[in-house]
Amino acid sequence: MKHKLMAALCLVLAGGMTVLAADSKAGGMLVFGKPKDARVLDPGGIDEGNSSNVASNMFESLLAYKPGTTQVIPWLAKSYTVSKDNLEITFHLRTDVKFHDGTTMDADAVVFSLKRQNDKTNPFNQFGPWKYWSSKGWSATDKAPGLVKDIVKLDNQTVKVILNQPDQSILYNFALYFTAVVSPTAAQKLGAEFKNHPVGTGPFQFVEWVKDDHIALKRFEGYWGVKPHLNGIIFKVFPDEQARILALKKGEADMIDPPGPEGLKAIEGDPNLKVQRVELLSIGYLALNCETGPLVDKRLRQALSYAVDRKAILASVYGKTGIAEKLPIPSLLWGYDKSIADYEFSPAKAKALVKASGAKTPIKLNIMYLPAWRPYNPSGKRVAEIMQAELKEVGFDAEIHTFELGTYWDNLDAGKFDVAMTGWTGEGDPDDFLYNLFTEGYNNSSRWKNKEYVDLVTKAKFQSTIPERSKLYYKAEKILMQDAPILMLARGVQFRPMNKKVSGFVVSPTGLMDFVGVTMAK
Amino acid sequence: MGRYIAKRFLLVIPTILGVITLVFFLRFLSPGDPARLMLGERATPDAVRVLRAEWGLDRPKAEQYLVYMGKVLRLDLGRSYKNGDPVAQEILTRFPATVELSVVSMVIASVLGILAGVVAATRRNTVADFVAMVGSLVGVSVPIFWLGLILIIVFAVNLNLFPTGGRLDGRMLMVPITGFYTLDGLLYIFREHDFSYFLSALHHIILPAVALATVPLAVIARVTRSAMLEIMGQDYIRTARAKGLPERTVIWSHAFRNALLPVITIIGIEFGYNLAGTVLTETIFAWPGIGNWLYTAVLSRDYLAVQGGVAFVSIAFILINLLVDVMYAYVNPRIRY
Repeated sequence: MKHKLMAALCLVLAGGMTVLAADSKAGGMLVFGKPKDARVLDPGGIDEGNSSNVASNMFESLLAYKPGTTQVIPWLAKSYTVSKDNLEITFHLRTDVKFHDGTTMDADAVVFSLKRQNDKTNPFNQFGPWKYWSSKGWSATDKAPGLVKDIVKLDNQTVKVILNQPDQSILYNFALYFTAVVSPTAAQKLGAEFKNHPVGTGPFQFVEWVKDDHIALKRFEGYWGVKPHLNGIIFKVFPDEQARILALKKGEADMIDPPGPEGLKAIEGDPNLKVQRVELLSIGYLALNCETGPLVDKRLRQALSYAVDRKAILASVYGKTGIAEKLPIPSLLWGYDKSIADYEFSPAKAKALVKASGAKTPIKLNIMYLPAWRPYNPSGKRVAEIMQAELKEVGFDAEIHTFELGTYWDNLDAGKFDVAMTGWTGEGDPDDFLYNLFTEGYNNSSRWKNKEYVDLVTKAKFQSTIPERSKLYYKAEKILMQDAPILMLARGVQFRPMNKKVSGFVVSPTGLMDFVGVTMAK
Repeated sequence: MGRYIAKRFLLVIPTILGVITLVFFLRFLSPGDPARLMLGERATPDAVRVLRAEWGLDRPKAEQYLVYMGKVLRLDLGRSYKNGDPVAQEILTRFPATVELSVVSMVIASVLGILAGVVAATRRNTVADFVAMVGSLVGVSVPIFWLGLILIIVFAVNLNLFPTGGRLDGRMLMVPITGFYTLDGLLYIFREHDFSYFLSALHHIILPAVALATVPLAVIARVTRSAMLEIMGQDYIRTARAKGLPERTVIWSHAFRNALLPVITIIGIEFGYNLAGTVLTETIFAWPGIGNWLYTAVLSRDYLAVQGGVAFVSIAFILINLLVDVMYAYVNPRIRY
């Protein structure tokens, strides 16, 4: 039976070659080298990049990001309307979309895909955890009602999402993978195994998954949109970064996940390879503890912002892998106030503020630096060392230390620091940065509480138009800058290495990869 | 003999339960909340609380232990926090890759180690002895992650003789039959008349197996040398030589057979270590085995996976030791249980 399957796969792949014979760019299996295997491939259960990068080729959502941008466009829904009270979103579905198992994508499928995540009494809720849905507070808990009240089928091609309270920022979430539409037929048949044998509507369909080794996808011939040129993609796991780079150099992989700065140097200069630059929605910053310790005093937080030469850090630590940002919202997004004045590097102003605070110098500071490379911070240790020297000049005695990542997060959550490095990779709406990072919850690492700010970013959720929301965000950003609960470092830039024979690859700023336009020169 | 084996088997049970208990309680010394780690940077306190309750992590330690042991006694190792799949299934999927790598590396280590040891002993204080002993010292001292990368750079990238990693060519898809790819490749030859899978599997296993073989090879060579030296000084060897037997017969039929006992012991122990210690080799050579999986499980505080994996590897280790003891009787007729 297995061999018949194998033979069938070969025939299908060969068949794909024949079907696309007219397409001169058609063909090829692309091998993508990644550091870790996927955890699960049911989009509802995914909350990390190693799974979403694979699943996003097999699944689609009601809306989508225009390739390479943060602009949200209709996708499986051909249009949508939002009620005047902002409590109901109605999606009108396409009629020409099939799942990989041949069944039709319709309102029942959308309701099934979303309701299993939202409704604890749904028989398919047990196949979670639906990490993203719950982490966003969409489903009800014993403490509070969730944001999403219900998902209702109006007719075969129309679905309504009803909210408990208005929230404009919810819309972009329907372009993310966790709201993707899955085949109810396959999910009901496979139960808990669906996460290992996914069936969606995307341009590629699942072939096989050998755990910790590879996941193979092939082109979906019944795809409703523009069909991919590639016959298929193999996501192959190379856990060691240097081994991954060597596999790329040798042609065993055609593309690999972005390496760290050292790995990037090993790739530059290879005549067979190239790198694609991608600006991410990924910001790195220092959380300044506003609840306990010396930085409860706003003047000392401002002094820190003046004392650290961020341009020098950007040049010497980030190099090409970072760009300057003054606010904890990427300048790529609407809602970003370009006119706002940043803190310049001025040890004199820092000293003056320290003096004005009346604190006894040297002021002891506990700086916790990131133990590992992150997309928004290539070397926490080097940043901390530079800061330590600069802060000494203006009256701070900084002690720098780190922990293993799990402990690091525990300490970050518990506020056991004066200054801690952290960051955030967002998803295309200012709310994901300005509300998420500075109101109640784990993500408010600075433990900063400012009622005026919270009112503004909460109110921004309820406004219907971008200009209305932007005005509120501009006001909020001024408060943020003035109160200085964080010290911005930079926004991450990725360099995706690939063989020169690969072209047409697109990555969105959220990091998701689009292989539809990819061709491989023969 | 049968009684001895049965007795040893019965002793295995409390040993395994002891290992599971130890690993269970050791986890409380390790910082980091698995629910927080699993939910990642986007976790809300509420979501973490709900997940902790779902996994039973909010219960008292004693209760958690009793619930877990109750499951273990019913041969249920629980479900991985990472993906919700049964731990036993996760282990069995990956175990063939580790066993295959360990077996091939032990074959390389045993053949070359014994040869080097015998040569060093029979040519004591010559260049051959010096080379074998310095080589074995280097073998036990070189860090495997460094050696692995050097092997990849020299033999895979510069000389282009071997692939950099994985179990098969990246573009080759094979539906595993037994999970042992070299064996599956052989079956494909008979069933499909296709040699490519077997050749690719063999091609891929050589470099990681050589890297993994270095430490056991060195140890086996040193143990063989010292065992052989001891035997070569015995009266019966002198007698054999005096009888005019060819040197080859003296070495292999008279000396080596009697020197085998400590060598078999060390091969058994090294095989056990190999099964449990493939983490670095598997990581560098992208080998999807149990070491690689356990490493990821430890980093993500996937407790049930770690406990199940450690118990499984311990059982394998204990069974190998038992097998070695049984083999003693075969090798040395004087030993009877």
